[in-house]
Amino acid sequence: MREPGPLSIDSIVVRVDRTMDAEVDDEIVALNLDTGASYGLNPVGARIWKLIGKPTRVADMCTGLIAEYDVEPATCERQVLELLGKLQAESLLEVITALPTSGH
Amino acid sequence: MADLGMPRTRMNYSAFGLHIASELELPEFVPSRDAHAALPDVVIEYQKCEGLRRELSAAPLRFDEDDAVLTIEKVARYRVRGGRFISVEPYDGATARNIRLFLLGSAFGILCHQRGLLPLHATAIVVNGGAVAFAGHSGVGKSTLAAHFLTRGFDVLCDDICVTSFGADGRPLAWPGPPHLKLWRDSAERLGHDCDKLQRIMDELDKYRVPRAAMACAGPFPLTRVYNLTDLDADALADIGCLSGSVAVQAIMANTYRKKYLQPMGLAGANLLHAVSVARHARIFAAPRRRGIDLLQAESTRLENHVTNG
Repeated sequence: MREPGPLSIDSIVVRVDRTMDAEVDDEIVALNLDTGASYGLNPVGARIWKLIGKPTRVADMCTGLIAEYDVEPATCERQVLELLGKLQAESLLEVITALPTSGH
Repeated sequence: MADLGMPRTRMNYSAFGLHIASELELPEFVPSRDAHAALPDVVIEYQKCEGLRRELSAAPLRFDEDDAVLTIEKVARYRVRGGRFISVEPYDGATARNIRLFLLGSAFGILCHQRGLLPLHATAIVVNGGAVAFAGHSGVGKSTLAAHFLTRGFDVLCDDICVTSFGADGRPLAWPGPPHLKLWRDSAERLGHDCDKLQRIMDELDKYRVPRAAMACAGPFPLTRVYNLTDLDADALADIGCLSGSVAVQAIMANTYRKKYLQPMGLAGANLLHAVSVARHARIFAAPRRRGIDLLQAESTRLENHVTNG
């Protein structure tokens, strides 16, 4: 079921179909083919971009990143949501469903 | 409008490595020496841009795969097809100069995109067998900078549009453009020219087509550096800095000539790949420039020092 929803830790997000990306060193430039807008991603952002190639729950992504980058959970969550919010604003990702906290 | 009965005379020109056969006289371009060469790369003709109703073409740009129509009010409609054909339909009363301005600017930019070339919005010089490009928005001072390098003994490769092709290994090559600079009156006069003897680039502007001598070596040249020129307040301080990664790539994309045409033409993805190739093979720099006529010499010298020593 696809419905736009607010971005939260329980959201399932995925890259929009009509995007393209290119790697340069360990960074990525993501491109929205429909608007022509591009977005530069540093190495951590590039990692996240690759993770959302298929539908991914934000909470699950954070769990992996916390282990990988040895970062505080609250910080990770905040920074991930901030980046995902920017990608959403650029129409580079979409929220597929927003799940209630209690269920799944 | 002439009928299409008799074949009309075409003049042959050479620019950016392309052989151009044109019904319109193009004094900006160098006449081609090999008039009997094989098929021209580009053909420019007068023609009604058929198949379009005026009402539909209210939008200035219409694109359909490899077929683009650009309408410039009071000047002309240009149809650019397959990276090889440009048809020009002038409005009544449009001057030849204004028709050529948009033909050799926006329409030519579309042609480059259709040919898979990367036109940078840049002026380039030759340094140690490579092309060094100075890119930036209109008015940032690219041509004025080129005039400075001319007085310092450098060859200028191209002005305002730097046409780049890519070899099999992705290496960017910059091609020689028409042998003139587009300068405002004061810059032209600083080079010792009498503007009353020069052609204006556009009827209403005090900007002139200033000839420059042909280069010793014809080129093309590998693109080795791109400086992204940006404006800075006169009292600010900022060094020339190296760009890398996604920032470098985006600087090239931002300085693509007529980049607003890319997405409607379905070429945004190709542009990203071109930009990555440039960032891989050339050094990219951020070059903030302080504005002000009294700072012009100092800023040009600062950049020249970086080009030769940095």
